[in-house]
Amino acid sequence: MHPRIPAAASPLTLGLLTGTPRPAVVLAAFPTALYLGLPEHATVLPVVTSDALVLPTAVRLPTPGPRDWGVAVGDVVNIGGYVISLPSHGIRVVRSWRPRQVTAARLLPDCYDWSALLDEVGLGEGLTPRADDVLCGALLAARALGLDLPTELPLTRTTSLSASLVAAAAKGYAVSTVVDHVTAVAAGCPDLAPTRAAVLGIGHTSGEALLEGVDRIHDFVNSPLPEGIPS
Amino acid sequence: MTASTSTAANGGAAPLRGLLSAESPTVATAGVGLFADALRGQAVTVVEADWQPPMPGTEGDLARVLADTRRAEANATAYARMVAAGAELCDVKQAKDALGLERGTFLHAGPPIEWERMSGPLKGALIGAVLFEGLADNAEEAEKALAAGQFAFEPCHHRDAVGPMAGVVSPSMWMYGLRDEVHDAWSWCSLNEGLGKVLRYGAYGPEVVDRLHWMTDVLGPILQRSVRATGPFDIRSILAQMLQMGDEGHNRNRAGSLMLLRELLPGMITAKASSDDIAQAVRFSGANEHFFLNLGMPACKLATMAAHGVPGSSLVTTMARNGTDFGIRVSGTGDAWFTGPANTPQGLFLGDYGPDDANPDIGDSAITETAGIGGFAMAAAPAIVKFVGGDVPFALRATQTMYEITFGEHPMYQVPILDFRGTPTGIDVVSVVRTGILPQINTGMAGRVAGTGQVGAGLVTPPAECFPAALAALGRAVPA
Amino acid sequence: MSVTHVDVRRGAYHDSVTLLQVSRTVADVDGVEAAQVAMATELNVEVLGSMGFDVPEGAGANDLVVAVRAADDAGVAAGIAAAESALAARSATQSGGFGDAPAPRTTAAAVRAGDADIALISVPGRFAAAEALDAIATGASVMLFSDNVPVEDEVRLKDAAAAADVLVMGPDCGTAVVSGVALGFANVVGAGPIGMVAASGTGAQQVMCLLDAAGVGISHCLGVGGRDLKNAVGARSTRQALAALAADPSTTSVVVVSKPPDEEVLTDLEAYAGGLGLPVRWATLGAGRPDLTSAVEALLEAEGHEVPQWPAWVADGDPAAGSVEGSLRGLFCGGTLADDSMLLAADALGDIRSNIPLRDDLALGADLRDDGHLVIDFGDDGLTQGRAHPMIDPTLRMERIAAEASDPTCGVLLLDLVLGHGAHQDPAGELADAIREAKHTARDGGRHLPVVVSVTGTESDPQGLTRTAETLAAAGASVFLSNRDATRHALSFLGSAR
Repeated sequence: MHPRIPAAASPLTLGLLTGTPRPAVVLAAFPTALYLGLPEHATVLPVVTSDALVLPTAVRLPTPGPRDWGVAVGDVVNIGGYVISLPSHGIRVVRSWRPRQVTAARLLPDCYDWSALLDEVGLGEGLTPRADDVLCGALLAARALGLDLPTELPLTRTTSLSASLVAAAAKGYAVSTVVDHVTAVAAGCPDLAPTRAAVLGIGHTSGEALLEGVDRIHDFVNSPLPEGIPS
Repeated sequence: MTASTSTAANGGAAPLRGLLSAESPTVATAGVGLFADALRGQAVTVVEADWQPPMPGTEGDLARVLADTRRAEANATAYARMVAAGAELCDVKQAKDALGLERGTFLHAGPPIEWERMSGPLKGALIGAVLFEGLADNAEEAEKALAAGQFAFEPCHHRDAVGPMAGVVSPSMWMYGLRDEVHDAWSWCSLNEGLGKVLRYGAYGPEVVDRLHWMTDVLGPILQRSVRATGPFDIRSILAQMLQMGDEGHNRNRAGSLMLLRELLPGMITAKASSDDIAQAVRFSGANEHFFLNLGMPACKLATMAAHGVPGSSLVTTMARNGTDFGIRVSGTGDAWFTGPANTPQGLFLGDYGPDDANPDIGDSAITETAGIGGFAMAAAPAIVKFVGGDVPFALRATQTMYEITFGEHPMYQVPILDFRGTPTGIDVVSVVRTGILPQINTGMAGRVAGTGQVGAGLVTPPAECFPAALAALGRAVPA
Repeated sequence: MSVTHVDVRRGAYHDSVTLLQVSRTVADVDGVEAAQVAMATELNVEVLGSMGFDVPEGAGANDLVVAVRAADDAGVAAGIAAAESALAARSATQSGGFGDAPAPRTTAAAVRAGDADIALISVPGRFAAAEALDAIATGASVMLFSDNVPVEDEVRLKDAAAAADVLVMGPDCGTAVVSGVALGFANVVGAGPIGMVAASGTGAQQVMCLLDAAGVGISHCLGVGGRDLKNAVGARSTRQALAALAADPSTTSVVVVSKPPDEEVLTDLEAYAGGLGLPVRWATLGAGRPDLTSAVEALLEAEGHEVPQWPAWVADGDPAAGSVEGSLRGLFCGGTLADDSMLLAADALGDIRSNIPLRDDLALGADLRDDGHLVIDFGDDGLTQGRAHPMIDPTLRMERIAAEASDPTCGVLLLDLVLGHGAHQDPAGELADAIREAKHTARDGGRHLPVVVSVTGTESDPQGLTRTAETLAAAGASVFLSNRDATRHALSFLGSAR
């Protein structure tokens, strides 16, 4: 019998873990994070240690990394029945944690033209292309400031992981430091330096790209041009 | 911080510091282990305190002192003063000039003590000092005069001075003078005599007294000229550097001694003296790997003096031993000493000496631990375990354990292997009583019999009873 | 002739629950007749004395006593070895690897080490205030499980907490749930819109379990300590908790659960709650006020939910209603459940004697004996000094169940059993055995003793509500989720009930 370590699931991805076991493929394995992909596009289950960046969709472990997951990119593992079965141990979901969510504001009359941001989806390097991070920041800020969101997101144009995060952002979910910053922006907080600094710490370039997205929407709301296109 | 009823959602500070919007609360536990296990079972990140009851019989005093509304700020003030204090070597003078020490008065290490209760090394050092000052013709005569109460004794600490081991200072001895510009204070310490049979370990043979005369006639004046010509020298900055070079500043001073010599040499070489005398002075200083200790100690004394006398503060400002008693003084309780019988260090012995030859703990050098170095910085000096015993994991653990009983982390004194964490600084009597963790001191061991000298080096802690006694005094000092 | 061994280990501290487990392990060793591993507190020294172990003079509360009696020297040696390995196993989980920092020694150090949001403190009461005060100063909210904390200290802690914008849940707080994390004793219930503020541990558990059975989840349950709604404390924590829940986006209404509060405090609190902008409802026990179940039913109706049929397992073959002579004997682990039952029973039976009486003149003596109706709270401060809570260590109540079985004045036994995190892992098995034995003893004495159990639990609890209830029912007990229904069922047997 493999040892089973307890973990907490995100309500955003709990559904991936409840059914009968099915295969998932290892998309990436880092010392503090494991990304598991399912056949449906935009369906990724991150598993993170307590010291990792906690994505809103992640299964959280209570202890810090580094962790030897015992799997490599391309390996197939089973998930289901509240268990992620790795070769040497199982991760058992015993609880749900509560990802922070940006509160939706009452809608403003202004309309934002999302086409420029949506055209760029998928552009950039890595698991979360830069253009996608910018879009995430913009979606979160739009929700917090009361702008209409795009009716459709071109999720198939980007990586599965990035697509899952864009989908979460459209519902107001993000890494907690980003939620804090967007909340502070929406509240008109006079000193944004601390929350900006916290966001900048995310990834290599993700933090800066997220801030750019937030700033675009913030600038638009503060100085809307007649055509609704920010300068 | 003002509590606000506005929500995180509208950007105001969420009440209870955002407790209810914690994504997955992290929990610290103390007490019943079952609760920590139940939390781990829920995949909660748990930090479990290894809680122990406080020292017996201290509940009432703890309650009184913890309720002292002055304490938090008083400790912050005392700590800030401790780490802000400067320490520059500004002068070298004879004790009679530096301290106004009268002929026939002798300073010693540790808390006050009368002749009858003194241990062998302290008696030996006083005999040697009497001989050195020419107040008796031989050891027998000196001992008789000392026992007859013909001379006055006083702790070094009562004159803002410190002395290693027996710490005996007589009026003719030369002293380093260190100045704290920030708090406008001076502290003094005698010159180091080297290792082996030396006065500070209670040896008083002819070679000991002869060396003291040479130090008085030759070494002292050369050092004075050097310091006056090329000083002042920042001793704190040497301390900060030596901790990054494998010294802990109490029982390992190799890097510090070399850096100090580098500062002093130009002035010594050009001092007005014969080239023979200069060569001998340089050779003597360079041969002694504890040369720096006598500067590190007064630097630490300046720091702890600065922290002393803050009403309500429970930080320790003195730990000192006279070979019989271990005494501490606390910032918020004025000049009172809280004493207990000194423990005998555990460690490694020189030559054929063994545990039976060792005297109980002696010297003012525990001022280094009081100021956050020495045993508290053991992790910076893993090589020390070859000298004082223990192993490297012990050295790492020792420093990390001291964080439990100290107020802060020294901004200048850092430990590279702990990711440049500041050394644990500012021992809090309350924390010692609550955790039962006693300060870790690295020390030399003197022979039990007067005249033996050093027999080894090792590790020691204060007797526990000093701390409940100090706590009780803090409790009495709490305003009604 | 058996061999007795007693040794004292100075300054070797372990918590009482750990030692309870160690003692059981040692007692189970082959050849060991009796064993007790305990801190040498006054009470424990007395217990050891009654077991025939002489503790040497001078042993104090910080010293560990290892006492073993066995048939021979080998048995004693095996017992000591078992004690040592059990104690070592506990401390092994604490030590780290090369260069690791040693485990923090105070609550505040642990909070700093983990940047913790909450400090859960369960050290002996006389040391608890110091730990809590420190944790508050580091910016953590505190759940103070410890009991026997003086009320002046409670007020001081709560004032310090308010100034630091953190919450003190306690002292004597057994239950809290923050963002789905159960602290202390709590049941596994779903997430939902109801916020709870609880000046009662088992009362809060009863309410959350009833809500769960009705399909309604909770956002948070903030404990405040059993005395918070008394005049001396003035609802200090309750106000903070209410304000925080009012500002919490996941909470849409709040229920306050409490043991009988002081009237002035409740009146002020109702006024305060009126200005918070969300509905606040009350499950505050007291004469003339609704019992816990009725309060939950009112809440469900007000929130537009259907009131379900509360789960019940009624035993066959018990005596007919009103046919039993003798008195009600309520033996509880949960203080609020005891209060709830006592208030209901008082309506039907008149005066009930208790160690937590409704009126001072109904207080039981130190022997806790009376021929009339009585309700005992085994979790009360007076019965937990120097020993674990009865939800962890049921020994005292088990002894009393056996005593009631052979007492002809006992007409019906009313018991509670609380499931969930922190509670005994298999409480039903032991209790079912005790019930079976009690019924047997009573039958030998020519009586038919009905036993009714109020089980506070959910299906998702580690022990499982249905599984637990069926185990108890198989022993001949009637089992109810609703404490009110359990109490009414017990009362129904008594001829003396109105």
